[in-house]
Amino acid sequence: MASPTSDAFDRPAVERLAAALLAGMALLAVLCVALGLGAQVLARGAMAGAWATRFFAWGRDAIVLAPLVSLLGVALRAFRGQRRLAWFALAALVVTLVGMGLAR
Amino acid sequence: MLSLFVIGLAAGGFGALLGIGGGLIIVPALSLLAGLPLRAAVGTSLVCVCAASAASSTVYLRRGRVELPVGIELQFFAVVGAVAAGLGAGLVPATPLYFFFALLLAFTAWQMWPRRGAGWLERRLSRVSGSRVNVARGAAVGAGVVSGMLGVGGGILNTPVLHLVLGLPFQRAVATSAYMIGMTAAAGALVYVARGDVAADLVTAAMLGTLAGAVPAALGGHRISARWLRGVFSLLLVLVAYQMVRRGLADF
Repeated sequence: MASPTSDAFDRPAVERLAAALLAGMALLAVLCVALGLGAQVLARGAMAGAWATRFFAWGRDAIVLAPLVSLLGVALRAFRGQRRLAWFALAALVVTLVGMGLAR
Repeated sequence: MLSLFVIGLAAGGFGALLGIGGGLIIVPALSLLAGLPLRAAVGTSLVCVCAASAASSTVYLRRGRVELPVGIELQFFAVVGAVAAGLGAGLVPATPLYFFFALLLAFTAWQMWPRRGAGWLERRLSRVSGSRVNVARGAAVGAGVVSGMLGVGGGILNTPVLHLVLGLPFQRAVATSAYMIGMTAAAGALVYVARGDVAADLVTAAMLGTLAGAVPAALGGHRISARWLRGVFSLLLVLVAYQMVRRGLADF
């Protein structure tokens, strides 16, 4: 394990990428919610309700996928200079998804 | 809808300050106050944990407070523990485990309680600094097992492991734990979403509340003293230990 104070790789770049991916997915979720609310307010009838529910579902999915997208981004970025971190990130992602599959 | 937003707001704020998922707050609040069925409450809670993690980790990562390599490596071990626990559920009698983990949590609460000098565990670990990493890996597997068997969030155990075992400053431990819990919660949330337990309309209000609560808490959390936060964290650990004793007695 890298020591808590280790700066052996380009930490700021990886951290910026992880933060940007998380923020991007969170903003996408908020945008979907805003579109869903817009559909509810502007449109009338069952069609508008269906679209609103669809947008809300996309927003929910975006926020649930945010940590996994961030981890995948970290893994791919870390392959350039920090293979150990990259492999751990990929392994954590795979084990998480396998665990999810087993839980289903 | 307003009550869901307020519950999310409170959970997001506490979650970001302590590096926990907030399931301890959200699940009872959603099922008791908002009247959601338990499965829907747990699924909604997991989505909110993802939201709290995404919002607070963005701030913590931008400020360089997350120990990304440490967090990702420990997360790997924690997930392995959680999966093993899921596979081994039913093979090991649960009742003694409830009491064992209750004792473990009570001990951790005692060690986390703010005091002037270093606690017993911190003093012991300072003498074996070389093997701290292995202790942390083992503890992460144990945290994963507890999480998988008993359904408690990873954050309640990640933060003490990072702080007491690896010696990270409390607020760095909180930031790293906040990043780690997102992955754990996402795996669980995907299962609930795929099963159709998380209604999109209901979760939206709680999710927005969580996002709104987590960002200011993450931005201003460093102004709150670490001693106070450690005290609150210790009380939370005692609460979880009490819940485990209750579960153990119910199964007895």
